[in-house]
Amino acid sequence: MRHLSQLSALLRKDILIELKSRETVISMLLFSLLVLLVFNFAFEADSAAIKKISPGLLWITFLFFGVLGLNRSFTLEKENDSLQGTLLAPVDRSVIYLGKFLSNLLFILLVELITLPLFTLFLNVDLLSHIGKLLPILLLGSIGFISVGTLFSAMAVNTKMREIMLPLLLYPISTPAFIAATKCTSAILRDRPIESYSNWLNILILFDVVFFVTSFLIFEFVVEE
Amino acid sequence: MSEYALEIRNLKKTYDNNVALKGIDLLIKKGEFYGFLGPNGAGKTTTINIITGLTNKTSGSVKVFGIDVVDDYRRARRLVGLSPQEPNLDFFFPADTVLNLQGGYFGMSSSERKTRTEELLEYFGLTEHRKKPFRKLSGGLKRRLLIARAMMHKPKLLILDEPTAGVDVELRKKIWDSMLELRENGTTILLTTHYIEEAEELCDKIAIINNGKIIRDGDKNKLMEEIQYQEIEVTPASPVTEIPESLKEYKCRITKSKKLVFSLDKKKQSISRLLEALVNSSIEVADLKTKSGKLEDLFLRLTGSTATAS
Repeated sequence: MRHLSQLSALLRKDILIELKSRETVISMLLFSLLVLLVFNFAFEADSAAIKKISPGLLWITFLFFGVLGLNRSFTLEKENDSLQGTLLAPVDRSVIYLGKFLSNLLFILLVELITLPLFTLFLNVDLLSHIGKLLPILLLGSIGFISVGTLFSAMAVNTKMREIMLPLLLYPISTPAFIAATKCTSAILRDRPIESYSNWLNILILFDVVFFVTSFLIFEFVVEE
Repeated sequence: MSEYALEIRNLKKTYDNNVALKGIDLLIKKGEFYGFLGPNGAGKTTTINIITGLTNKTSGSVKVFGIDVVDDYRRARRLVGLSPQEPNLDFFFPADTVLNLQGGYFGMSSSERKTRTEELLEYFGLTEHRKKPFRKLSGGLKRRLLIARAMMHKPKLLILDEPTAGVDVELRKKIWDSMLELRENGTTILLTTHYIEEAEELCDKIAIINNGKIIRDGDKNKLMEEIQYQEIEVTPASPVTEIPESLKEYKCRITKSKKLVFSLDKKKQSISRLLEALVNSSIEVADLKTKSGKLEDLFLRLTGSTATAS
């Protein structure tokens, strides 16, 4: 019960900060718009090619703005030293990780959901008619890179080049999740049955489980001193 | 349960090749108001960070009310409240949210948090500022909020790291009153301050740390007795340009305003004998002022410092 109360306080704190500052969601949303705008000009919207590469473009967009959001998640804590304030309480480090993971997931999923219709609008790819099948993939793919990203964000915040450090650490590690999510998205957009992408789906689930548990367990050592 | 609120034994801390703590021992009994003084870089903040779990010790043990701060950190942390030197909270939040969230981190229920928040806002005179974001509060109000936040979970040991730094005299007195009231309510207090007169005024016991070692600790009054010198300022009725032979046994200097300032060794010399010597030297005394040695003198002597503690 106590852990739940602590988790709810941590999550509430991040949501309140976001409601006050509106920095994370707005900057991710603007970045997402810019990426879509560039894609719109770079590719011809009606071409057959874009239909083929659209799952990749979608996940590239998510990864790009996702890193922006993940970078912000510990920067404010660092600027105000507020992580130290939280560490003074009898809160398990893993509960702090969980709080940060959930707030990152919430903000990034929110921007992803707003991005979907914009993607359809800018690139003329119908995502919305597949939304029922796409949402679980969106959730699983996001869990994958956010679970690792939250850990790396806490590590990178103490380095001098934190904005560069996070993508350098995150992109190579999250590549399996990124590829699996892209493959699943591609199969869904082509109306393929689940059996055709179940292997990729399994890889995605496995990645999520392994990296979430690992990050959850080693976060304690990252925030020590 | 242990008779000590805080029990530090042979605590050592090394950062790479830099030895911050060289094996300190500190015992604070329940209900004591303990001053922890030392110059910059002496090891005060490292000690506090180890007690509160923000820094790992290299060796030694730290127990709070008999509970090890590493082995059973969750229980230990429930017993400790820290008001830090520098604010470590989100500046966007208003006072009531700061307190409410703090209660949440300590696993307090919603109703408990609400009641305790109201109590503390009232107690620290923050009720009318409850909706102001932390960054918009004045220095004194920020300090009070930091102490209130440290008190949110009703800790038995309250650590105040420079609680009156940058606060004007009036507010400092108010914070002093709050601290004394907390002590009267049974809270054990560990205070670090760079205002040595603050430690002199408030604390029952004092420890002085320098270069990672506690160089003196104990009852404040006993420590004050160690200050052997007493200063006597004599204003002669007519100007004196040279110290008479009969006063040579006293350590004396003549100030620019032609006053004689004697430093008496309290163990060997007395004021009455000095007055006798003055009469024998035919010096007519127009005025006389005595100044007892202060804790600051002892601090400066022990640390060899010319600056105040911080």
